Amino acid sequence: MPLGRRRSEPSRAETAVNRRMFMKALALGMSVPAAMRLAKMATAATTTAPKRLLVVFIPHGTAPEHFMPKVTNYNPLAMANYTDFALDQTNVSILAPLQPYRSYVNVYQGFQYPGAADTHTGIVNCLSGTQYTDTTTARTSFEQVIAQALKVKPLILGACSHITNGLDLNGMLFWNGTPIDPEKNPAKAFDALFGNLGAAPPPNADVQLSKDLQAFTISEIQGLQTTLQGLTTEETKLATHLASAQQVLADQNTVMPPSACTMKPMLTSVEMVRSQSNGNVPDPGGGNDYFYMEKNFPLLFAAQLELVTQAIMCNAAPVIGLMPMYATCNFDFTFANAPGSHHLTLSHTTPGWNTTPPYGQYNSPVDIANLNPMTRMPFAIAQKWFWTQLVTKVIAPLATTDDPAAPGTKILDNTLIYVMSEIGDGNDHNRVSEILYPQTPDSLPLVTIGKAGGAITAGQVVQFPVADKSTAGNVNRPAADLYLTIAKAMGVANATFPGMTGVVPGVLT
Amino acid sequence: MTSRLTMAGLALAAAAGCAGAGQVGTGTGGNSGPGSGGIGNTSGSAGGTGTAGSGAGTGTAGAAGSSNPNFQLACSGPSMGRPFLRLLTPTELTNTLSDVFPEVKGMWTASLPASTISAHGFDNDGSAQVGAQLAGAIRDTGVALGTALVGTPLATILPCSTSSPNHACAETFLNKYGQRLFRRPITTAEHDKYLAFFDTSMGKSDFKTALKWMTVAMIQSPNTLYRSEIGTDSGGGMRQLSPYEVATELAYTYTGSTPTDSLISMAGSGSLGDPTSVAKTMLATTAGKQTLQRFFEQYLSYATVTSIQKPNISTFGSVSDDMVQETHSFIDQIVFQNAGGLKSLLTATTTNPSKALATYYGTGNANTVAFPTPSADYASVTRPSGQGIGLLAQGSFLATHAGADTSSPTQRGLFIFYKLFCQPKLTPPANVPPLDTTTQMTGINTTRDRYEMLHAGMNSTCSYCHKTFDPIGFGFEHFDEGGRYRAKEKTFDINSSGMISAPDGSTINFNGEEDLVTAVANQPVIHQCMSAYLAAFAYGSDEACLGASQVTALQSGSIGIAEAYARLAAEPHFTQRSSQ
Repeated sequence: MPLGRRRSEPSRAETAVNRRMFMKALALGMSVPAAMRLAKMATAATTTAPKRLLVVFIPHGTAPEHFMPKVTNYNPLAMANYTDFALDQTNVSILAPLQPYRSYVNVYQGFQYPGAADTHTGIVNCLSGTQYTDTTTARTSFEQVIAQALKVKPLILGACSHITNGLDLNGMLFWNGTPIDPEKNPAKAFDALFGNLGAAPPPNADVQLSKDLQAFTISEIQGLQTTLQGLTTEETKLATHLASAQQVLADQNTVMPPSACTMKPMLTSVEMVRSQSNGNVPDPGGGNDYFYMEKNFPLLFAAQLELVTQAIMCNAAPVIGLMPMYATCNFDFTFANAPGSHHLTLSHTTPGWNTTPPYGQYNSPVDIANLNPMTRMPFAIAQKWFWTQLVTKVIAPLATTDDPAAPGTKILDNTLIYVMSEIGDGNDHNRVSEILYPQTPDSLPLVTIGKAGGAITAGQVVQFPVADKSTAGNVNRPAADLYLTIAKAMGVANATFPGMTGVVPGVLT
Repeated sequence: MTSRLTMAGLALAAAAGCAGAGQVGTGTGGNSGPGSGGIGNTSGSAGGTGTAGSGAGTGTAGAAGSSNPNFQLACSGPSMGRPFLRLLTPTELTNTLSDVFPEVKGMWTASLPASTISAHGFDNDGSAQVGAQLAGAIRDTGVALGTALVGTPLATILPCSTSSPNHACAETFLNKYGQRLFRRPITTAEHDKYLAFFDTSMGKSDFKTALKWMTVAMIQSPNTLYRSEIGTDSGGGMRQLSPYEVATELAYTYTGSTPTDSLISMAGSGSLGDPTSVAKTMLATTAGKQTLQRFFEQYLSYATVTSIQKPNISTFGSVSDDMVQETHSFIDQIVFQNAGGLKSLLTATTTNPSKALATYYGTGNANTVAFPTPSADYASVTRPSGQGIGLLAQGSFLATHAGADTSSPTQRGLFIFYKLFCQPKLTPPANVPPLDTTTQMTGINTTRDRYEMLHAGMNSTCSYCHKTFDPIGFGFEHFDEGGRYRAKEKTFDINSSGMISAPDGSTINFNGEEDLVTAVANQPVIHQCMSAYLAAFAYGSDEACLGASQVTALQSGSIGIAEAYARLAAEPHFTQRSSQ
């Protein structure tokens, strides 16, 4: 700053925002220090409220004849943004729970995961935009990219999110260079997020020494790299380790947003899990681990959803990933009134044809009416169960709770929830959005809910063309474009993703 | 039957694989009569390594690993693999810390994420890397242990911490634990570096805090986390592992934990002796048996039976734990007590159920033969004649290789196809073509009927592959989804006969599981295959022919599986590596 010039003082408007934010935060029960930090943070970010991102996986695709929104003047072969649509008029209507929140919803049709992949094993690349199908080549899923850019630590949760004896490739959805094992114990995640509420911060010495430790270990790894120079594979292995150690050090410098909660919340399902799993001995090689047992899945999922909602409400985790089950999981869904194993019985139900003209015939219109909706009702009911849980436990609370960080808005206004699957049609296993035989539009089931602080124009069906499988890749939009769009909506200006072509038109405000 | 069951069969077609990635034999599918399928000769080369990729956005660059799911069984002799740093698995690291710091056992918790699974189904893949999540979890585990260590136990562990908490006292601690954690004497440079770190830390805090962080540094050091199998150049394109590296390899391969002080001393004095003898001694211990039991748990995936449900069998949940123990006890008896081989495992006429499990086994549909009750839980009983033999007739295997509400000829057939015959892995199709389910299907009454109709009668994409392994699985059709023997499927007779072309070129005709597994047990390839799986587990590598020396003896029956596993310590790869 040139000599003689004073550092600029906050403007009168900024001071007013500071004071107004501060008073509002106090009124909502925040502590004075937290309210102060929040007020300063909001001002520092000009007029934008803190944004939250939640990525949710629903395994095994969908049944389009029960999923697709009913759109007025719909043409699946054209590119368009539709605003006149309903989510509860499509047979079982998997998305019906979202209908009351339609103004927050975008359904994306005509997208693809590029590259070949073997059925469900394509889960290993669908959130990164890459085409790697192996389990070791480095890649980064988009929520990690966003979290790193925002300098926040993402919270990755799972409910029975991989097989019992380890992280198999069908469980490798989230990546940060290497696959991430979702936190399967909601009580443990709760304690990490809320356990220190009201507690004194750690002694300063420990904070500094922890960083000193990381620097020490980094130097050891570098020393070993020098020793092993020439052993190419092991050098690369150590390079990964080095980057990881550096990331741990960087994480220690990450300042999470101030909590909007001063008291430890009471989450019923989380406490039930805590009680039931008391004394659980981790059993990575077998099936006696509470957190892998099929019978516990519904409660574990419920607990993770409760935790997600509370983490968002308290601003405790701005970026969250949630993975219930893993691809090819065969849990029986009798509990959801859909008897049968989810993968082999339900998702692999072959669609039935409607042969009443003009449907189910050669040259029929491309329409879900070509399929007999009765055939896959159990699968649709199972998939609808996921949405019902998500709406009941997450979307509805967020849509009806005032955002303490942004007066006049609801939390869902400043949140973006991205729901996806690793394939399109549960039986067809498509990774492109295609015309499924006979003449059925079959898109990847991709949905956002929320407006990301006004950055997202919601209330749309965003349609790119479907086509015959052999040409669909030429007209579909890559899912990486959605990741780019979401990143920009979250305030990340310079994110890049493999295979991206640009932001999705009509989605960013 | 209902269309859902036909679709389950179709689903298995998609799940199991249709497009061949390797050589697959040809055969004709059957309809109502016995089916036949061909098994190709096993051959093929090991896969290449992948190339390193770049991360997206701000992602980190990482290493590629080899992930070849196919074994090369045609070996002219044992080979040597490459040198590597082998990351301790979560189990191994936890065992190590428990053994090195027994004074704080139960006072800390490991919070390590799950290992990735290798292409062969094992959690100890040598290509495993330390990602950011694991690095953070290791640090947290170290902090938990270090915090416990400098609490009440410290006075006992390190008496000088009370009388003279200083640099010299920290040095005493470093000398004591450094060698156990690094599994070799620490170097002068390491000694100086760690003590300098301690001194700096103590300057910022106090003795206990500084000692805690020095402990964490040791725990998360790459010297602790990686088993070094690097060696030094010994000329002729080879590298010789050091005695300390061999001692480490022995300890983890045969006990799943760090070498004892005694073993490290023996390594230091050059008196390790014959690795195979050491391996046998270790295998006879409880930890040793647990290590080999872990191989079977992962090879068979049988322990997962406790995490699954069978909605149509109300008593299943009450006996699934017992199924695991049955198999555990059976393996202990056959492999350890009787020094048996694969043939014994497959064809034993005894098993080891609990009393409750024995009762359960007798409740299969239309079964009128009671299952013998053991004198005590998990004591040996002779199976009823005609109701299965060996490992593959046990509930833990049958239930985990079945659907939730139906048996699965595909899953059971695939186990033999892949895990006993070592056939090349097949690639599933990208999608399953729609099937006309509106036409009434007469004569489709049993699971086998549906599989034969769907997989043989469909377009060639599915039948081409399914005819090679579904017929194998038909031999198990007298066992329901819960592992119980059933005389009928609902009210229909069961056809568990079949005919397959075996890997050795012979034709196997069978009627039921006993015929099938007896014939399979006589196939030479199963011993090559088992040897390859044992080597992959022991060495953490999918490189070909590393354990080839054992095959002949294993095949002849002159050694059992435990002996074969111990003899892996005598293979060239155990003490040497090829230079890159």
